[in-house]
Amino acid sequence: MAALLIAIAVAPAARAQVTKEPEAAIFPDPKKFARGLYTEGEVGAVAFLGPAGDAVSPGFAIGTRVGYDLFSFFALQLHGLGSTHLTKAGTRPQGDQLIQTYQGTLEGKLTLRFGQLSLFGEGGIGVVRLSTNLLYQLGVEQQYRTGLAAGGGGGIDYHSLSRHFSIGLRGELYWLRDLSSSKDLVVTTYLRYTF
Amino acid sequence: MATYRPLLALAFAAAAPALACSNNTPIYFNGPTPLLELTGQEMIPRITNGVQLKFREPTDDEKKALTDQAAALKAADDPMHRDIKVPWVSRDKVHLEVIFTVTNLDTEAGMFDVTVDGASENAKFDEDVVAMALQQGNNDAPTYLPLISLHPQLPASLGPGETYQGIFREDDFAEGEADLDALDRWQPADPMMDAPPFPAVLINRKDVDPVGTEAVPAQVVTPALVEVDVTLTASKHMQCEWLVRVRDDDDRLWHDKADAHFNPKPKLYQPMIAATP
Repeated sequence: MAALLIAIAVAPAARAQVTKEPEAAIFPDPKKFARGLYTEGEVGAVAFLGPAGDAVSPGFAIGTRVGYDLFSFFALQLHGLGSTHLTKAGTRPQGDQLIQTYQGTLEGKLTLRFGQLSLFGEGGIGVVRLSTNLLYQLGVEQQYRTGLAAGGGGGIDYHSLSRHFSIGLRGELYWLRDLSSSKDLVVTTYLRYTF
Repeated sequence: MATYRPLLALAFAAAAPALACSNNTPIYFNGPTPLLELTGQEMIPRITNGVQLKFREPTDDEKKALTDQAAALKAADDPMHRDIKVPWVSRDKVHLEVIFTVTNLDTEAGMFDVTVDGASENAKFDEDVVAMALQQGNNDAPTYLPLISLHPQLPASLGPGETYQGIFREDDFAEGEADLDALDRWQPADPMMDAPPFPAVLINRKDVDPVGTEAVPAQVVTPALVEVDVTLTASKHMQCEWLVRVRDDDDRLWHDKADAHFNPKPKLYQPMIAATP
């Protein structure tokens, strides 16, 4: 009897039996992807509002971002976006001409994470440049083709099971001071790669 | 590094369209105001206005490059070793296009035509002057021979309230600029003896019939137009709005106030008309 009590006392504790298989999909730890360098490529559309909206049709856009997550909830990023459009001028000869816009901004980004999903808001300041002076000829733009842009927006991000990749959708509104204070609405979908 | 290669390729693929777009950087110049307008009541139903394109003066290095290029053309490319001045505003560096809209403001249909004249840094072509020269010694109605036309698409009819949009393309300008240069610099010394009638140079496209351009050196650098003049002809009350589109490959248009203006003094082209025996 004493021997039995000794054996029970020194024996390791019994463990619970595994009754189901572990989850096949293990979501990566946000600590591993929400820090450090990331890049994004985006496609979408740009539409102008205000005076430029009367002179420029919505157009296709392609862009890229390079950013750095300083914290899991805050990042700094550089954003470049190019879009191509046709001018609108009724029957005037200035109509139906191709024009491209190039936008470059430095942005801050705040992120709120819910597992694989996250919501974010971002905003920044930079420059917008037009490929031609046609908006000047239409009376929308000042003499110079480069002007100030400022604005922001937000979106939703879905992180894949890979530590590196996520996809998302975002919308932004920028104020274009030198285009007669017009605005441009940018809606894009993106693929993000975190290093 | 190998890990990043696909991403770098992706980045370059994304950047390529933007870089390609950056090559498309034309500069536009509106035609003068008031717009070209005819009431249909004019004795000579023609009206012209023009735009003088401003170019910057070449730098010393650029002047030397032009001189060197001219010397090389004379020495190597032209068997007759003629002086072949290389223009600063040249057709291979400055590409022009005119886009126009004609609107019939009348209550009746009418005919209209739009034509383009202009000046290079060497010579100015004015179809009114040419028509006067052609008319010398007779009482016929004037014959207008424009430097650049859209014939036979124009003249055309336009109904009341209708609008016509047209383009003088870069290749139309290239043809007109070659014509003007051929007439200005490369006609035989004695035009009465062996030159074809000058209208043949204007009417025929060089790629179809190079009549009158036989003396043009093969490697000539053709001047582009520095002045664009548009003429509207209309039988009814019509209005024409136009603008010039310029692709300036080497940044020769004037836009920096620190640069001096290029001020050529083109001489007016006066055709030699053979006297009627």
